[in-house]
Amino acid sequence: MSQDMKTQIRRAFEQDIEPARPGLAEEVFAAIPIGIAVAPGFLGWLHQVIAYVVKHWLTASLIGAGAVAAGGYVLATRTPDVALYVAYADHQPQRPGALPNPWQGSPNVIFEGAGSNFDAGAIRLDNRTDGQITVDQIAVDIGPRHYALWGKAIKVPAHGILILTQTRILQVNPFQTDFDTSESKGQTCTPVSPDVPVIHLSVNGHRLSFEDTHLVLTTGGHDLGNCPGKPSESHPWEAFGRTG
Amino acid sequence: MTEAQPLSDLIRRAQDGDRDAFQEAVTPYIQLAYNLAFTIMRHRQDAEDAVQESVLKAWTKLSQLRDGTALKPWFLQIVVNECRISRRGRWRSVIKLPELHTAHARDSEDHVVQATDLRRALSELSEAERLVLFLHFDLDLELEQVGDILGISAAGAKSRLYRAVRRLRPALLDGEEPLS
Repeated sequence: MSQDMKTQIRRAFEQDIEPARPGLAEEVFAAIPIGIAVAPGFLGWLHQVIAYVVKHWLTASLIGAGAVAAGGYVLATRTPDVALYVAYADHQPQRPGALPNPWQGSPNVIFEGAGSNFDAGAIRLDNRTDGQITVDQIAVDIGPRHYALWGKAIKVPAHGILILTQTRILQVNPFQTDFDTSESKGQTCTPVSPDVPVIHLSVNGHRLSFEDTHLVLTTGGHDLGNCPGKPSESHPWEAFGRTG
Repeated sequence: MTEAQPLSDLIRRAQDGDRDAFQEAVTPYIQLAYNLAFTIMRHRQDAEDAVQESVLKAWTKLSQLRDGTALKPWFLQIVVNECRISRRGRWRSVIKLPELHTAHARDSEDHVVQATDLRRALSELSEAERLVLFLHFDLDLELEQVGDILGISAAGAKSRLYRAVRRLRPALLDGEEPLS
C-alpha cells in the first residue's frame, strides 16, 4: 500500500464527511442526564438511584430501567418515541386563512403560543409514549435567524400533543409576530431562500435536531404573503420526523 | 486490544464517577467518533445522535474498561455498535438532506473529478468495506484494533481491507502497488 493511495483514500473520506454542528463535543457531555452515572460502588449507586428517582420519578418510570452491568448498576435511557410536524398558521384580519388542525383548544393539546390571530410557523410534537416527557431547549435556526421563544421545560403527558408557535404579536397592521418564519429573509417574494429551517429540542435530555427540508416554516423559502395575489401562507401539519 | 497498559489516572477517576475526568478523557475522540458515525450513517443528524448515544453508553459502561484496554478503540467500538443499533430503526428522520455536499469547492476541477470518482467508488462499497478502510486509513488504527472494533480477527480485517482496496483501485490514480 503506497502512501499516495492512503492519502487519496483519506482525502476522499474527508471530503465525504459533512462537518458536525459546532459545539457537538460540549453538547454530548452536557446531555448526560443526571440519572446516568458509572457505579462507584453499591452505596454510591443506591444514593444516586434514590436521589434520582425522588427527583425524577415520573421520568424514571418512563425510561425505566436499571440495568445490571458488570461493575454495578446503571440507569439506562432511550430516546422517547415522539413524532414531529410543522405547519404554517396564517389567520389574521387581512387573510383569515385556515388554522392547522389540531390547534389551540383541541383535545390533548398543550398550546405554547399567544393570540387569536396568527402569522407564524408552528411546530407540533406528539408524545407517543405511555408516560410524561419533558421537552426543553427548543430553538429554530433559519439561516442566520435564531428563534428561541419557548424558554422553559414543557411537560407533555402521555399521548399528549405539544404545539409551539408565536408567543407575541409585534404589531397589528401590518400584522406581525415574533415567529413569522415566512419573513425570516425579509418581506419579499423573490429571491427564494434555500435556507433549511432546523428545529432543535431535547426530549428527556436527548438532544434532537430536525430539518424542515420541505420549507414549510419558510413557506417555500420566500414570504408567500408578499407574492402576487397575496396568497394565504397557511399550510396544514406535515410530518417530517420521528423517533422510535 | 493491543495496548496492554494500565488504565490512566484520568480513566480511573472517571470510573469513580468524575464526570469532568470522563469528559477530558473522551473529548479527543469525539471528532473521530463523529467522522466514523457519519461514514456509517451517511447523515449528519443521525451521526450526531449516534455520537451522543455513544457518549452516554461509554459513561454507563466505563466500569467495564479494564487494564490493557485502550480507550480509543473501546469507545469507537461503542460508536460502531450504536450506529448499527440506530440503523436498525430506533431513530429515523423521515426527510433527509441531499447526499451531495458542496464543500471543498476550492479544489481544482481535475482534482474534483478524480475525487468525485473515488467518493463514488467509496459510496458503492459495502458498509463493512468502507468501515475497514476508514478505521485503518483515516483513523490509523492497526488491523488488530480494527478487528476488535468490528468484531472480527485481524486476518479477517486484512482480508476485508484487501477486497475494499481492490474494488477502489479503478478510481485511484495510477501507479499503485499491490497491498502488502
